Amino acid sequence: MTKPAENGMAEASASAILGQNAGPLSRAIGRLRGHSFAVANLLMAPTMLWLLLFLALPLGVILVYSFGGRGTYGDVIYGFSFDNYSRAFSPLWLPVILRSFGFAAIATLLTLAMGYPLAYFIAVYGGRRKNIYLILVMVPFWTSYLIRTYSWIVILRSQGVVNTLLQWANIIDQPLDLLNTPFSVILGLTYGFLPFMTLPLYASLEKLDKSLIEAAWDLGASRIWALLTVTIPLSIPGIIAGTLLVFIPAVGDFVTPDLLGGPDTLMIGNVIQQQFLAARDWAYGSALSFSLMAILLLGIFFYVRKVGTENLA
Amino acid sequence: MNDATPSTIEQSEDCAIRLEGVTKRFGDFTAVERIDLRIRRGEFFSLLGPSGCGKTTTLRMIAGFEEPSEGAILLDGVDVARLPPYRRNVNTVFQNYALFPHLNVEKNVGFGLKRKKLPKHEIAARVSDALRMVELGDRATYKPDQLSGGMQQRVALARALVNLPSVLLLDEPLGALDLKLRRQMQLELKHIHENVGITFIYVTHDQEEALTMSDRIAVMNMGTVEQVGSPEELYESPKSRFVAGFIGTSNFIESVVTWNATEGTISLGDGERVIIEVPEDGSRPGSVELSVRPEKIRLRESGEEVQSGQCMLRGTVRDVVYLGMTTQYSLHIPSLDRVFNVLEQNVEIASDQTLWVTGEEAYLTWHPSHNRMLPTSGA
Amino acid sequence: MKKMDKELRVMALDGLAGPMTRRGFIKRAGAAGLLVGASGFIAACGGGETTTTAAAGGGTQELAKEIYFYNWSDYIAEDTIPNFQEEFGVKVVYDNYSSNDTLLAKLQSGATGYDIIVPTDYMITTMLGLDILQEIDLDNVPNVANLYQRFREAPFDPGNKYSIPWQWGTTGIGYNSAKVTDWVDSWDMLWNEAYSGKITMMSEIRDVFAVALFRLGYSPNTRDAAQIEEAKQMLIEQKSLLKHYTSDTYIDELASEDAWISHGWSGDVFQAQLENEAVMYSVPNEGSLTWVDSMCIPKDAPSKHTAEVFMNYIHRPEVAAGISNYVYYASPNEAAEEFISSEILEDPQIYPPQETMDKLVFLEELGEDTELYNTAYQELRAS
Repeated sequence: MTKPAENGMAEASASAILGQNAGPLSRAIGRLRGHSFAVANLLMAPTMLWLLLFLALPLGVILVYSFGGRGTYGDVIYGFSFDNYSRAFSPLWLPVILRSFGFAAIATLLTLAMGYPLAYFIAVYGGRRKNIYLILVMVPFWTSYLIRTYSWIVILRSQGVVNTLLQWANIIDQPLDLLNTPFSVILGLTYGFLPFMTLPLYASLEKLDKSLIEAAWDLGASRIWALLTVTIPLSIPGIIAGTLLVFIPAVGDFVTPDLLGGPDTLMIGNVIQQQFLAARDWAYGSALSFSLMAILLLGIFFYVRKVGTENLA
Repeated sequence: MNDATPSTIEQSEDCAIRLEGVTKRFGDFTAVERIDLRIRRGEFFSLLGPSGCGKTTTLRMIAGFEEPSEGAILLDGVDVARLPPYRRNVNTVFQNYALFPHLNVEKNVGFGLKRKKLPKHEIAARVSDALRMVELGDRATYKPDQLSGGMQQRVALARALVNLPSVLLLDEPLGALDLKLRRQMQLELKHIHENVGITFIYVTHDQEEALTMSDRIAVMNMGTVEQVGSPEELYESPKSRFVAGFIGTSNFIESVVTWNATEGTISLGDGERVIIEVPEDGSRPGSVELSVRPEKIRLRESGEEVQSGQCMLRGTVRDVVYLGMTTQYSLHIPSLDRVFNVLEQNVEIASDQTLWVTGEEAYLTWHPSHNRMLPTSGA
Repeated sequence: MKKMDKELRVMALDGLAGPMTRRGFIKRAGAAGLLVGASGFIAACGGGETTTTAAAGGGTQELAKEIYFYNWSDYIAEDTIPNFQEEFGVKVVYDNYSSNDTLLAKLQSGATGYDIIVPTDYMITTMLGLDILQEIDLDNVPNVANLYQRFREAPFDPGNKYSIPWQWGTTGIGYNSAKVTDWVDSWDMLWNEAYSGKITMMSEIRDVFAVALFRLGYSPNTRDAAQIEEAKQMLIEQKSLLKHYTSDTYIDELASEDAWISHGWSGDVFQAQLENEAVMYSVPNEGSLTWVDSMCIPKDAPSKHTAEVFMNYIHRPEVAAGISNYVYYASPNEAAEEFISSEILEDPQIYPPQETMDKLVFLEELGEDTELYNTAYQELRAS
C-alpha cells in the first residue's frame, strides 16, 4: 500500500540527511555493484543486520499488534482486524492531528528562520572558531531534554523570569499566562529542535563553494540577491534535511505538550503514549503509530519531490 | 623596480584600469606591496608569476573580492577600490569556472543581464549571441555538470562577456584543462579577445601561456611587480635575474669586469673570456651580473674556430637531450664552476656529423650583444 | 543517595527541588534524567555470605545471597536496606521506577529477575489477570498480623495472598488557602469559575473520571456507560477552566502559586505545603479514592523465600514506622503507630479521621470495561 512512497522516501531522505545530493553516493554504490556485488554485500551486511534487528523487526511487531486487540488486562490479543485503523482515522482525532501538524509546521519554520542565519554565520564567518560555535550549538544536548523543557516552566510561569522582569519594568500589572498555552508548546518545540535544523544547514552551507557567491556578486547580484538566488537554492538539501529532522519528531513529540501544554494542546504523540501506557491498548497505539507514519511518509514524499525538484532541477 | 612601467603610456583615457600604490595585507603578511599598473583599453594583459606572488590577490582586488589596504584602483578613471564587486563594471572568469550548478547554461549566462533588469527578449538575444560566440548554441538547456571541462570554461567566458564589462578578469582559466585543450582554448581566447575588443586581465603562472597570448605582461614576485613589458621585451631584455630566470631559461655569470675604452672583459684565463659592451647609459660597473639565453650560444670543437670579439667558455658535456628540431645540452663550465644550458638548432647535423656526447669537451661561444646586464642583487 | 539527590536537584533548578515523596517524584526523576540511573542502584555492601535463618513457620531454609527489589523512587528510609543487609547478610539490589505503567511495561516486555515489586492496588488486579504474580507463603511473613484489619481484607487481594502493603494515601484537593477564599470541602471547587486557569487535574484516566463520578454521586468503579458519559460531559465543561492535566508538576505549581486548586495525591500536596505554608489538603465530602502500594513477588522471582523474609522484616513495627517517618506517607502497619512520630500520626492529611476514612474507596480493575473509560477519556482530551 505504502510501498512506492516508502521507496521514494528512502531515497529522498537518504539524500536529504546526507546533506547533499546523493549523486556521488549512488554512483559509488553503482560502481560497487558493477565491480563486485559480493564485496558490496559483505560490506553492507552489518548495517543490514542492524537495521533488520532494530528497525524492521520492531516495526514488524508493531504492525502485527496493530491488527490485534486489547485483552481484559491490557495484554495484546493477536488477530486480523482493521478495527484499530478505522478507530485511528475517526474524526475524533482530526483536530488533534491538525494541531500536531500545525504546531510542528510553525516550529519548523521558526527553527528555519533562526537556524539559517546561525548556520550561515558559523559556516561563512566562523573561521577558526567554527568548532567552538558548533559545540555551543550542541551543548544543550548534553542536558536531558526533560530538564531543558522543565527550565522553560521556570522561565514562563506566573512568578517566572519573564513575568517577574516584565512586572519589574512596569510593562504589565498582572502576570501573563505564558505557560500551558499553544505559545509555550511551540516555543518548547522550537527551542528543543533548533540544533536539528542548524547542523544540517551548517553542513550544507559549509560545503557551498564560496566562489559561487563571489561569482554572483561579480555578475551584479547584491548580497541579498546572491543569498536568494545562489546560497539558498544551493542549500536546499540542508533545508530539506533540517525541516524533516525537526518536523517529523515535532509532530510526534509528547514530552513538550505534556509539560508545557494546557488542556487544549493535546498532540498526537500524547494520544499514542496514552494508548501504550495509561490505556494499555497496545494494539490501538500501534495502529495510531502506523497511521501517523503513513501520513508522514506520504507527506514527506511529496514535500521532497516538490521542494527538491523545483530548486534543483 | 616598480618604476619599470614604460613611460610611453600617458595617463589618458586609453587607460582602462590603473592601480596606484595598491597594497594588501592579511594580518602580518603582505600579499601585495605598492603596485602601480596601467593597463590600456583593449589590451590583453597578463599577470605572471609563481604561486604566492600576489597575482591572484591583485586580480581579486580589481574584481572587488578583496579591499586594498592602501592605494587606488581606477576603473575608467574612477576609484573603485572600496566599491563592492556588484558595483563594478568588471567580470571574472574563475579558475574553477564557478558555474551555478542549479541553473542551466542559459540561466548561468543570463544571470548578470537579469540583474541589470533588461527586457526578457533582449536577455534572450544576448545570451544566445554569447553562446554562439563560444560555440555552445546547442547546449543552452544543459546543466553545468552535463558539460565537459572545456565547455564549462566557455560557458564561464560567455557568462562574463555577455555583460560587456570594461575589463574581463581571468583567473588561471585554463589551469584545469589538459594540454591539448589548453592550446586550443588559448587560441580561442585570443580570437575572442580580438573580436570583442574588451580589456582582458589574465592571471597565470605559465610563462609560455602568457607569452603566447599577451600584449603585455607584468611579471610578479613576492608581492611586487618585477617588470612590465611585451613578451619580446621581457624575453630579450629581462630587467632582473628573476625575470630572466622565470621567463625562459638563462645562464648567469657574475664577475668582476675590467673596462677599456670600448668594452669590458671578464677574464677567466686560458683564452676563456666574456666580453661586455658598454651599456647605453655609459656606466662601467666594477662587477656585473649577466644572463645569456641558451639558444644564443654555439658549441665549437676548438677554441681556434672562435672569432675574436666573441665570448668564449670551455665546458664538458654533461647531458644531451635530443628534441628533434633542437638538441638541449648542459655543460659544466670549470672556470665558473657552473652548469650552462645550450640549445642547438639541428640544422647543421649532416649525415656524417653526430651530436655531442657526454664527457666531450666543447667551446661555448656567443656574440657579446647577447649578454644582458642585470642589476646586481642588492642594487 | 540523599546527597546525590541534592546535587541533582540543584541541577533540576529551583522550584523543582525539595525532599520528595513517592508520587511527586515521578516525573522529576525523569527531569533530573540521570537520577533514576544514578541513585537507582544501591548496591550496598552487605556480607555476601550465605546465612541460614529459621523462618517463623517453616523449618530452616537457606537465604539467597542477594535479592532484587524494584520500588518507587525515594520511597524508603535510608537505613531500611542497610539494616536488613547487616542482619541477614543478604545483599539487596535496589532499583527504581516512576509509574505503574512503567513497571508493568517492563515486566511485560520480559524484564525478569526482580524478587519484589511494589505495584498499586488496581495494578495488582491487572497483574493477577495477566498471571505474572505468585502467591506469598504467609507462614514466612508472620508480621502481617501487625497490619490494620482493612489492609488484611483489601478488595483487590483479600487475605494478602499476593500482596503485602507498603504505604498508603488518599486522593483529594490541594489548594492555596491564601488565594482560595471559599471553603474547600467539595469537588465543586474544581468547577469554580472564579479560579479559571488556576485549576489542575491529574492525567490518570480513572482518577480523572473518579472526580466527576463522585461529584455526580456515582461509584468511581461504575461500569454503567451512561454514568461514564455523564461524567465525561461534566469533565468537558470543566476543560476551559483548567490550566492543564498533570500528575506531577502540580506540586511545584501549588508551591509557586501558578496553580491554586489541584486534584492530587495526599503526599504530593503535603510536599507542596513544605514549600508553601498556604497550601492545604482536603478530602471532599462526596468521597474520594484511597490507594495502597503493596509488595508482590513476580512469577519468575529467583529468590522467593528471601523476598518473604524481607517482607516480614519490613513489617516489624519499628522498621515500618521508620519508613513512614522518612517518606511522610501513612503506614498500613498498626503496630507501628507507637514508633511513628506524633507529627505524622496526628496529621489528618496523612492519617485521616474515621469519618473521612469511611468515604474512601479503592479503584477496582474493571477488566474489559476499562475500555469504556479509555474511550471516554480520549473523547474528553480530543474535544
